[in-house]
Amino acid sequence: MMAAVTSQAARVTLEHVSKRFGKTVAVDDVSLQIEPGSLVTLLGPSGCGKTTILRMVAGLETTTSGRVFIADADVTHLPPNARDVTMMFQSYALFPHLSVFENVAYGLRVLRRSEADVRKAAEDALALVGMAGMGERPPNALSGGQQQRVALARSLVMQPKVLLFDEPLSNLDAKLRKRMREEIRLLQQRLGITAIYVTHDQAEALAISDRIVVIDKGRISQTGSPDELYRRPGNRFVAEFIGEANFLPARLDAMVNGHARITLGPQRLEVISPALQPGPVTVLARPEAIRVRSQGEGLAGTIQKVSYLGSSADYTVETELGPVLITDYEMHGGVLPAGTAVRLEFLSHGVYPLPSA
Amino acid sequence: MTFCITWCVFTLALYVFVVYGGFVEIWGINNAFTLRHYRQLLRDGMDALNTTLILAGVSAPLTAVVGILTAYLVVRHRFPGRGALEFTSMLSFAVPGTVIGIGYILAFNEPPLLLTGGAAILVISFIFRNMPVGIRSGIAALAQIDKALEEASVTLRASFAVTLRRIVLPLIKPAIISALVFSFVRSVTAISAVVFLVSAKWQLSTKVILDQAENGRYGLATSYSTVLIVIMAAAVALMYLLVGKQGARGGIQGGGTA
Repeated sequence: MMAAVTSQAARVTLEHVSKRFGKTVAVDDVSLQIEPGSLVTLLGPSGCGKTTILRMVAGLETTTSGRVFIADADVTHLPPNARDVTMMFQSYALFPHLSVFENVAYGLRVLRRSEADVRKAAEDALALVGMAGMGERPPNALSGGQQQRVALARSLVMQPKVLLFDEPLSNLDAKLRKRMREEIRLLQQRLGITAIYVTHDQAEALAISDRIVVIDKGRISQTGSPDELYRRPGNRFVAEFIGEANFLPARLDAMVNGHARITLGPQRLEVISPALQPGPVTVLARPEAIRVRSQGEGLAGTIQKVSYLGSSADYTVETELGPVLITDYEMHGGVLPAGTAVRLEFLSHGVYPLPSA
Repeated sequence: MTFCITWCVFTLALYVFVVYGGFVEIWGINNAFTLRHYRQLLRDGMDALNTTLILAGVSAPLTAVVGILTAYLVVRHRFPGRGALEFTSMLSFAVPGTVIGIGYILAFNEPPLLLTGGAAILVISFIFRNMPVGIRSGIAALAQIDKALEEASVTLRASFAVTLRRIVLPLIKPAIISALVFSFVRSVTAISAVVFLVSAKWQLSTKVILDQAENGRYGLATSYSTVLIVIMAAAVALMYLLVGKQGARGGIQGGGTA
């Protein structure tokens, strides 16, 4: 219905891209392919190089080595204004001396489009983000969420080949953040735009991404769909960064058809597993895939700490394998008090052996 | 409070006496009212006043441009020698004007750099003497502008020049105006550096005032000073008017340093 705002989705490819600032290696040999129309998140702790990667795609940073392709064209040495890429900034970066409408119209005016075209396109874009009729206001009269919408309209109106997001929601409160990320995802899917989204918030990454690229110390730690990364993390860093995690010692008895038979405490389980040699392994056990019972079979332990969170309760249980964090969404028989002797049952879908390293 | 009143009295007294001195026959001896000095000023002093205003008017925008560009480089770019550039640009503030004046004579007294006695050497000395004003107000204004604004503009297809014209300059307009007016004012009132650089053809008001005072023609000197004070006051008032208007138009970041 918004015919004026369409996209020209393009593939983005990074080939062995590195960036050094003096002696510091910010980005180390990153290769990445982003399919047209998909939303890929670069996820990692602050200082891991994810924003630098994004800025190299935008052309706001030069690459020290490696090549960047947009729509199969080598743009490594093109300036930002020749790349057909727009960016959403953490600070929104709305021009304070221009009205909301003029902010959205800015890029079109730079391209010297006719006044009628500019007016129609900018108004359509504002309507698309739910800001119709607000064009005459100055940006600083808007709330944070509204400013981010205007910034989104300003980016979309250019019909970029790629839309870049640099932690766009980190200045918003939790509720608004959740709503905005849903809206961004809906718009991105509806318009079919290729998007690269940088965040340090794993929940945000899981919620909106087609694929997540986990970055650690300038390198790609793992790439996969949100579900893959959550259920089958390739290493301890990814397992720890995405979701809550217990790391417990276990024994791998045998590999059968891509599944591992393991012994975890007194319990025997058959779980999905990477190919590993039999012997001692570290397994990831997700807190929500552990049952707490006050009696019966399973790993014995004592509740040390309880946090009641309404829809769930968090327990820390001391066991012979070490402390185990459990998130109980069922709470049959109410919340157990600290000091209670309990038995733990691990559910096979939440247990995953980690490659040693 | 007492301090404040004392301060005001001294400041006002200065201006009152300067104005008064221009309207009496011989200051302190014959206090009869006269317009003699102003008539003489109109006859003999207009050339130097015109020269002063023209040279200050030429050098003020150049000072502002050089100063703001230097500020932009210092604030926005990391390059070797950046600290040194900022330091040396401030140096012309620290060096006594007479030293600069003599230095200019020595440096530009031989071909191909034979500038002594001309207008160019005055303009150049004004620019370098006043550049720190432009740099300081530029740095203060630019430091308050989020770098993301320029990056947003560039990703919206604007070139560097367009970004400068449509985003940066409008946002630091107050700083530009204040740099313009202050360098104009400082050029008109400059004496220490230019006292060695003026010539018969390119004579400046301040030098004329100095000469008249040396010859004991205090009436003429003070009437000349009064004219300069009025011009300067008008210039400063104009600046506050322009900057004030900017500020009132709605929360622009990066106000000028006054």
